[in-house]
Amino acid sequence: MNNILQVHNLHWSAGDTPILRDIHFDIPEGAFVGLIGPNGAGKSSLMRCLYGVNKPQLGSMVLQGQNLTELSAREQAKKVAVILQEHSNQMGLTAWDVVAQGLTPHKGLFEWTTKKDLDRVSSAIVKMDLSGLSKQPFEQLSGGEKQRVMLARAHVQDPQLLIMDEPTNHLDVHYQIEMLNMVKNMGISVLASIHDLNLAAAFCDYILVIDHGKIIKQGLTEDVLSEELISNVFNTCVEIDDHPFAKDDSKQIRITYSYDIATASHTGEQK
Amino acid sequence: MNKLPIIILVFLAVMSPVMALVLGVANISVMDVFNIFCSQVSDSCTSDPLKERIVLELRLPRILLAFLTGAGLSLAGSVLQTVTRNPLADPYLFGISSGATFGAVLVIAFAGAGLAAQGMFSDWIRMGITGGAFIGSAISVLLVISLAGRSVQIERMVLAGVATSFMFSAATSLVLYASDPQAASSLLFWSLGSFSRANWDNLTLPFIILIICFVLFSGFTRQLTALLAGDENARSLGVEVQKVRISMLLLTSLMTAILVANTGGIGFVGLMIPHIVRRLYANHSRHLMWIIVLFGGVFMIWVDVVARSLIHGHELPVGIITAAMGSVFFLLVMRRKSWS
Repeated sequence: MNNILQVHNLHWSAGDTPILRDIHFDIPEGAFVGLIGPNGAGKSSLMRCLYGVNKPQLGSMVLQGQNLTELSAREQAKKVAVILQEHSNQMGLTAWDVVAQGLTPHKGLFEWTTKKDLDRVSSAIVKMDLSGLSKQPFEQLSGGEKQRVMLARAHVQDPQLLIMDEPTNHLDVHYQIEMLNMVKNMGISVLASIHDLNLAAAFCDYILVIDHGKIIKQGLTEDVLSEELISNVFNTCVEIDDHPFAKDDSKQIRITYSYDIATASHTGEQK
Repeated sequence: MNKLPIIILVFLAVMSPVMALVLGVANISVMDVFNIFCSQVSDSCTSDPLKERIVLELRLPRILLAFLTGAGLSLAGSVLQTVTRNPLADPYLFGISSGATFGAVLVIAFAGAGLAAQGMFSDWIRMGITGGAFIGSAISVLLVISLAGRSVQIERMVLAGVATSFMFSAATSLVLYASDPQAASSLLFWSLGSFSRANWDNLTLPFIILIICFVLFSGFTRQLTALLAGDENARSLGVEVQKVRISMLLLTSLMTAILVANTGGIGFVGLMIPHIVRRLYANHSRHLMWIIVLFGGVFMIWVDVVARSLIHGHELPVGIITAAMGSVFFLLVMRRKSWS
């Protein structure tokens, strides 16, 4: 499988404080890649580098042969769409208007919205099952509905890579699963930071583990998520077994928390 | 999409200037107005020369200036609210109006107090007032941007705007205090806003700046809408957030300065109208800029009609009426929100 994104030797500091150090990873084309790590590990900082808010001091982020740092904001936005965990209330904009924001990077300053553009927005709204909500003010939607609107916006943006920063935060179980299923069905390459390790195990093809600003492990989900790694990184005791609902051909695992804080005797050498 | 609210607004935008031409101290009928305009294009119509002068030289430029001012201030308020995602933003909040008022008052106080007292400005004084207003507003914008810091954070911008606004208001009060009583009275009337100085010559600049700003803001509509999603979201949609924000701030300050230089300080319009329009025309967001311009223009025409008709033989400063309406408007909004 070809890699759509190659990140090499990435360093980023906030002022004088180094946050990300020597980051290397690849994202295979069409893969759903989960980024996991404890709070403050550098997940959001890394994602902000990828969508241009943080400017890395060193390293490269090559998306289909083009270094993202050399592209204008508009060119970057044509290739990378972002869904954040928190949303502004959008000052009265309707769900339709928010979905149509996805056209922004594709249209010039004085370019009219064409019938084709409107059809693109309408089709994304239908695809994300938002037809009944499109005229509702965005701020009046539930958390799950807002995330669907954001997915529809990303669909209109038509990116090569979708970045999601903790997209399932504040969502109930139903919306968490619905959201991630919809993302999976979009069929594009995804990098998502996810706190719920069982969701990561269920939906991610690959996992990147970040801790203290460094990628400490990466690979296929079933290879990366081990009791030892989770205990070490999250300082919490876990047990991993086969998921009871796993399909025959799937290697899906289930992570059970013991609700104890990990100790050196359980996890071996602590970080 | 329900088109009735749009049709009503367009009807009001057409009818309001006609009604405003008829309303006033001098008794002029709709038929008189028709005859006056007819006589301009055809020899078959005749009109009373005095009424013709009142309509064409006094009322019509005044109505047009009121429309341009209402439209421009509403547009400026709407853009400022969008780029700062602050529903309370308007040219006053960022010190733009206060800076412009101070600059203009300073020019009038030093260069034309005597003429101002008689309501007469020579062309060069008028240019000086526009220049003073623009320099005042430019200084306030530069102050706001420099105080807001390199990242142009919204919260710092608003605080810097409030501080700058108070500083220029204090400076304006000082100039008024230091001027002789006759000039101070005239300056005070000027600073509270009025369209009484409207004539065909001072319509050109407000008209041009309104058209330029409208066209540019329309070009930036998608970027402005993206800014409502938050800075990070806007960046991820391809918007150069700081560049757009500063450009919009400079454009709105230029437009406000030109309007303030011609009309004096008129507050609350830039704040009130976008709020009302967003509520009344919630499902017309793609045409919101047009609607805000028309609504603001029509609103100001009627405020001016009230200003010159409320007290017989006297004219109230327009700024007093808009401020009074603005305060009532906010009480109503607060009451509605506390109920909901």
